[in-house]
Amino acid sequence: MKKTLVFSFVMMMIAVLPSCNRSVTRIESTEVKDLSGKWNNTDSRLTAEKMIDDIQAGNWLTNFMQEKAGAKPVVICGFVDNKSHEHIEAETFIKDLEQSFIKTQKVRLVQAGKKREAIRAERADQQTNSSASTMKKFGLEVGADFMLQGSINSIVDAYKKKKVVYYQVNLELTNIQTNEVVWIGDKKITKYVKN
Amino acid sequence: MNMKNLYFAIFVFCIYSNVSAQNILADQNPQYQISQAHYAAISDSMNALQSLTLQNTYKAYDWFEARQEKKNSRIAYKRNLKLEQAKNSYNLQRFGYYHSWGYNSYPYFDRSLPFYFMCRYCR
Repeated sequence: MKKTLVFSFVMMMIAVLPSCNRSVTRIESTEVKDLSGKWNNTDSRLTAEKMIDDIQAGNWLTNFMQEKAGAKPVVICGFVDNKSHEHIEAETFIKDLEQSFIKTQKVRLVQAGKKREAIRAERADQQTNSSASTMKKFGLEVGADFMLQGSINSIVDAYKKKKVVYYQVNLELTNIQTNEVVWIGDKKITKYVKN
Repeated sequence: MNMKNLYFAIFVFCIYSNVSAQNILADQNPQYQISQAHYAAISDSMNALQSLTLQNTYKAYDWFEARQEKKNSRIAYKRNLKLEQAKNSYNLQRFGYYHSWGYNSYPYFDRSLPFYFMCRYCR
């Protein structure tokens, strides 16, 4: 009897102990792993892919190049307003979009926000510290033709243990000179979560 | 300011702006000095952050961590409650709010005194 008890205790410990150990494995960024039903890397990737395809194929690009005798448009990224019920970092898909501008060389990109402030501060520092031949001058930045702005909205419909979450991500491109909206891209994601 | 000084200031400004205009490069923004002056004033504080990582992190929800935090806060709450109760009962006994001896109370040990391990009535 005593031996049986000891044996069963040992077996139980063997069964329980591995579950206490945390294991981590690297997975592909393209692999879909939905755990909680919240916004995740797959949603960000799908949004980026859709936006990149839409913006590169948009009429705004050809129209601008025809108007400006083949000149590439210059784009600056503005803010993305997250009005959803979750914390969503828009920079993950905005950076993918910006990267596509640089890779395809169809659109020129200028720095914005805090990074631009830091660049200007560095340039100001160069006015008194750098040699005259390497010092960069003020007033020679490239002015943007278009500004990219966006919004994230969500609708949640829940009943008992079931939930439908709808996300709509919109990005829009506005001509800075004329205030004309030349392109609006969207990505709609709907999830059914069952607890 | 008298008129002489005013004329002199206008003259200096005209000379300065003429020199500035001559120094402007092709396609350079004529108002660039405004930006330059602005950023020259704040460049030291802004450049102090260069080559550093700005930690603008947020706390992501983790089911296990949330459960552990809840457990920890519950333990801390119970511990504080016990400490408060012990402190209050100690004070009440010390200041004689209740009968310090008898069925309503129990002997207490004052650690600030020698022989604290002994009941105060036994010392």
